[in-house]
Amino acid sequence: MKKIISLLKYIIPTTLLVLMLSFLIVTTTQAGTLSAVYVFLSRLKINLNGTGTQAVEMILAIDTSTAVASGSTIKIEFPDAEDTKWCRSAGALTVSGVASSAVDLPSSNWSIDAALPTSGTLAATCTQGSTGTVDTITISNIGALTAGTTYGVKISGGTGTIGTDSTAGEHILNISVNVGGVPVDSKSIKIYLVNDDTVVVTATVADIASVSCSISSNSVNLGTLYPGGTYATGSHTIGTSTTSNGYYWAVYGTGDGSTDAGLWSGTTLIQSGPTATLNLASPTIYGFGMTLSDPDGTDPATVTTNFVNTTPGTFGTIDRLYSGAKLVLYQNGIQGSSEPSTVTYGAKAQPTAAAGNYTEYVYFICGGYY
Amino acid sequence: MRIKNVIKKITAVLIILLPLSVSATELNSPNYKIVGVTTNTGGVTQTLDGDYSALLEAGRVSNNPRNYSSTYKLYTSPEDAFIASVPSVSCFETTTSGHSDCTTGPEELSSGGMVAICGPSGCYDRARFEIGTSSNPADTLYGVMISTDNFVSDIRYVDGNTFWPESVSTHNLNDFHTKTDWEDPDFNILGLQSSTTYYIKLFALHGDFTQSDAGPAAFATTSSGSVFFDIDIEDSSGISAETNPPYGISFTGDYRLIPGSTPTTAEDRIWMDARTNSQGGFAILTRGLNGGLKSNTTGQTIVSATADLNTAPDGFGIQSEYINQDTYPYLGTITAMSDYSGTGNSVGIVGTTATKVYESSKPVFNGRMALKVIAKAGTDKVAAADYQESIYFVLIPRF
Repeated sequence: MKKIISLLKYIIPTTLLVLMLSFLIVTTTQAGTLSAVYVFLSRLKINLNGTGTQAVEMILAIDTSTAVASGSTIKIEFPDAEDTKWCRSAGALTVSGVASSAVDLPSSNWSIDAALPTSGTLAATCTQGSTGTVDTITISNIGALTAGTTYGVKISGGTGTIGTDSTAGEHILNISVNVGGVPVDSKSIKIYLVNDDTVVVTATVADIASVSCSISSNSVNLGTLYPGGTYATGSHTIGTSTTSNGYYWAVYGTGDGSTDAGLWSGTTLIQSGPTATLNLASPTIYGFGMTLSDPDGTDPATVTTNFVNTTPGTFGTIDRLYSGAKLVLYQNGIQGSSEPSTVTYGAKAQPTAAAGNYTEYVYFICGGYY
Repeated sequence: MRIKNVIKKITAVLIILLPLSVSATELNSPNYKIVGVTTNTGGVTQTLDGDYSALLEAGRVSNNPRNYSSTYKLYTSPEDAFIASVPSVSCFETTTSGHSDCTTGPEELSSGGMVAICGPSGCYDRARFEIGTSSNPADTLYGVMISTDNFVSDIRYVDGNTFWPESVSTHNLNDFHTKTDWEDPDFNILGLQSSTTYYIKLFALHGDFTQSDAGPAAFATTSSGSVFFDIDIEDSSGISAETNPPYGISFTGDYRLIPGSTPTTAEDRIWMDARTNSQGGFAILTRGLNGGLKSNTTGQTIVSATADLNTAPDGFGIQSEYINQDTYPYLGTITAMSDYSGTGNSVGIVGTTATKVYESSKPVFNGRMALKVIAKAGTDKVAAADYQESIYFVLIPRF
């Protein structure tokens, strides 16, 4: 018995010494390093105030190097020199676990495996720093964390608002998992703020290219033609307005329905003739034709050669049917203004023409160059 | 009798403290056996009985550098002849650039330093050391102590399996490796904190009860991490262009959108610079304010979508045109996500939720990228000059 008591004199102090040493070992254990972490800020522009279009959200992905029991907190701490910039106003934040994010790197530790587990309901607050303290986002009511699992949590403004610092460049964020207020796992990371994170794309949508064509009258009366007499004329205008790169006018007639275009009475044809032009001022030339006036002085509208009105009495001839359509007026280029052109018809009846009503249906085709 | 009691007491104390001791397992014979011991010169086999006479070399000069200097030499006991020589740290590096004292790592390390294998500014969470063997045999095992305060109160070891720092309580014989095994990984210390100075010491073990004292400390400071991001607007020739905000792209004049016409590519490109040493590389993401080109005048939106605008009646998006980075085979390369890497008039969406446009899975030096902006107005779009979208870009490093 005496021997046992004697031994206990040494065993008890020694045991206490061992326990103290063990305690020292535990208390001097360094915090671990997070295996993986990223902070996905929704905006990287400096000096965002956290409201409206300047609202800032973040997704935190975090993988601890060791298992952490339920009840831990996660802190995101910002540099001391940037107090009140990140926590633009203190207060509760909106927080929820997320199971993935667009930043995830597949098949790596930087890919969120699961939403941050809860112990009750996740809560987050933004607290503003001052001298010696820092802006801090604290997430609490966290469930147990497993090492090797990357958890995701999204944080956005609530009564507290998240902004950005006013200085472009690198900023250090310290991310830590804490138990009883003591960090057990942490990592300092950097993010980069830019003066402007936005590219503004502006576009002009033009009108659909179009051409507007008008004919001032659908009938022209040439009056009475006397067989072998002088030629008669009649006119109307055509108008063109377009947003395309140009326009054209073409014409064709119907004539007697078989041989040629021209004025047709049902029995007699005052034909437009096989030649390109008719000089109806000539005593021996008869027929039907037309001219157009140049619609502008500066724009490049052009009356085709056979239909210019520069020689009195001379008219261009037309042909039958769509297949015989002739280009009479065109413009290659954007139109500056609406451009009317006067169409003048000229007709002269041959000496053998029978009395009667003569008619020609002249079809106008108008279109745009696109 | 008193002596007997003292012995009992000492024995009791040792029994209690014994679990704290670290013992080598190479004592693997019921008889005395020393594995791999080199006795240096002087050991001879006796001609008569064949016994080895190394233990007779009491009094020879120790080759342990702790025991001699230029002014003295310490003769050692026979047991000390078996203790491994104290090793040294021949290199311990985190942020070297353009040079390295490490000789057995990857070629990029030897020529470019740690920045060549960790990225800009070097390593923030890892390091490499190499062992000066002090003439220990090749099968000598080494352990690594690590500290952030030069071993004043922070004394840890490097785990031989994970290469992360571990506490004294988990340190064991599995944390000993040969020089070759320690130096085979490119990084043989992981799990470090950034912007932190670490001190390491090495000790050697060459058979049971032969662990040397720790060698001289070497130190290195980890990088604080690095990341850079920048946007520039310039035409397709602007590989090296640097421009200031505000950043704008326009479809006007000759580039105006004509409803029903073929897709139009804006003259300017969105250029971006990116670099980081984050081990998980980075992701560049985009999102739009409106989800398309919106006109407040007409109330219409040319909606953004991932589509081939040659066949889509209407749309708006971006397409990667250029990717480049400095060539460091050990580091990462930038890739465009499939939606944004099309050709012709195939574009990726700029929606109201963020989508990844570019990515690297490793650190990158001097990344440069360019995006085309392509739009097509459908025949239902009413003419107006105020179609607009604000595109946000973010670069997220993964540490």
